[in-house]
Amino acid sequence: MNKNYIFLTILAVVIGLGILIMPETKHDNQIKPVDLLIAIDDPSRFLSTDVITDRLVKKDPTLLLIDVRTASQFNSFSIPGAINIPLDSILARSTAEIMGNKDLDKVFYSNADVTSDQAWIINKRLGYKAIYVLQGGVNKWFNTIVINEIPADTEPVEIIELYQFRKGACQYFFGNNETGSVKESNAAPKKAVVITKKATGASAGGGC
Amino acid sequence: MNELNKTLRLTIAVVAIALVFVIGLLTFQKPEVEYKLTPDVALSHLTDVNLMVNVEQAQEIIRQNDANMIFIDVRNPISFGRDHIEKAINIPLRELLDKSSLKLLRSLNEKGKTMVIYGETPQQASGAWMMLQQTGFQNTKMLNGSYTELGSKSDKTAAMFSETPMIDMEALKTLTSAAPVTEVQNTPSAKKTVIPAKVETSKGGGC
Amino acid sequence: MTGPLIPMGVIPETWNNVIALIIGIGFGFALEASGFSSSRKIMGTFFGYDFVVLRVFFTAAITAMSGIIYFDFMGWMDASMLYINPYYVSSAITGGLVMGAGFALGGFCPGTSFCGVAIGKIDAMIFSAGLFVGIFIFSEIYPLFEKMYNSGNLGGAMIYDMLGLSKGVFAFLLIIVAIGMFYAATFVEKKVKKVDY
Repeated sequence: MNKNYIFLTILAVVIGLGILIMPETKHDNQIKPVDLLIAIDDPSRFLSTDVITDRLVKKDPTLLLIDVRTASQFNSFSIPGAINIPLDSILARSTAEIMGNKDLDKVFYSNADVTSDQAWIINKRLGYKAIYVLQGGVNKWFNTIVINEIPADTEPVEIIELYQFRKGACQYFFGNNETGSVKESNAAPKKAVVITKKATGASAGGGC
Repeated sequence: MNELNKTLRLTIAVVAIALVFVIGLLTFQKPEVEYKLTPDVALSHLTDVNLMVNVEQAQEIIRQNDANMIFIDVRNPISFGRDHIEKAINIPLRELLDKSSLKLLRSLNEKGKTMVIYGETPQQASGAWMMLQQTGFQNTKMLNGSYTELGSKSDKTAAMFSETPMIDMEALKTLTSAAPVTEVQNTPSAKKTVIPAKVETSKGGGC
Repeated sequence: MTGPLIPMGVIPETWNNVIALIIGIGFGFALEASGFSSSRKIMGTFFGYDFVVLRVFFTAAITAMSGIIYFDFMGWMDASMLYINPYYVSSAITGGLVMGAGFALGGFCPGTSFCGVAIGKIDAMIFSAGLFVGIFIFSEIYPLFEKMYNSGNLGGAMIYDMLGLSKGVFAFLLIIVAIGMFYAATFVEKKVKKVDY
């Protein structure tokens, strides 16, 4: 046997032993802590309530609102079209499927933006893309979209337009979100609304 | 069998392999910070009340002047220069994992100090706090409130930022009942936004 | 290209074909240098007088394997970004049998036949012409196979996961097995009557 072959054999075994004792590198798509910090410092993950409302009104199919509050809070009031994933089940297997959907813009919200931001950080660390946080959360959404004060006539046009947009959006949501008591107390207007709904169903150009 | 001896192929190959190893070992560096908590554990820490400090507790800590409690201010240096809690250490959020910051945080950690993170809003504090928790600084707490709340007792705008629900159900009800009426003679923009609402899926009536 | 450089944006995507050409030339060179353009040499594995095919491919496999594992460890590349061909059980077995039969009959594998064409071997030219005829026939009658072709997809299955071994243990065992096979091959070569070619 050639001496070189023996030498090569020893070399291969040494390399093999090196592999054997080498700690296995983990690849779990997690982003590095330093990169996570940069992402946390970057405010571009925050979407304003007006942007979200606009996309909701336009029925943007790529938007998915995720309510990270508890189920009871979700049931008492939630932004229309949102799904409920409480913070403690944010790492569940079923959630991973939603998070992995690259075509959806996943927007977390909670009462303010602390819990939602925490959910965002956990998911960001896991390397998910296209995730956002609703700035100000449902509190801000409620207090800008649902409750809006009529601006004075002397206000700039932008403010009046913003008000009109919010007012319109607010009424848009009530159509889908009427509570039982409201139906009873307000039979006549509701009827009127139903009629217009039929009209919209029949003709494409109809409105309220 | 002789082909290996002809042009010192074996020597060249072994030298090349050795070179790769040496370069690899020289360029190999352990990252400065690593995750010490798995996502699941990090998630469980989020709901741990012991790791939170609310405004009252923070005010209490300031009053007692406990040497074991250190405030870490993660706001930018300008805000810090303007006004900050006495003896607080300023580490802006983006510099949290810099070498100098880590050195400081590690020395505080070794001394057994508890670090209370506060920021402009609880959201800013939570980001920094989660980062520290996940990278192995277990002795950190987060101020669940805004910095401005520490001075004044009840700050309504600041309360907006914390997780207390501020949904006025009564206002919602009155608005819902008032809405269709105003809608009829309301602004044209309301009409505009409503147009895309024509969906076959809506069951509950309405536009 | 499926390597880690292009998805990471180190090399622009437009360089794909250029890199493929360079690697292809390198592969062809390695095949020719190992004497794989000779169908007799390849058939040596089948009849037991020359195991150079086995040696070259096992050496290539363990070299690439060790390289990937070490580079991954040193942080030069991210092995998780490598593309892994999905494993279709039934089509892999059928395809393996068909290819093996063609290999034994023709004395070339697709890659080596092009090496043979490059140095002007007539049998290699006929073999590669047959290759294209086969591709044409397969594409024409593909609907007949479609069901079998796509059945039993296990995704990017890893053999060490299936055996329940860790990556390092499996790699080490593979190296030991390869060395053992090299010695066994040499032993068999000595026993079998030498063929002059």
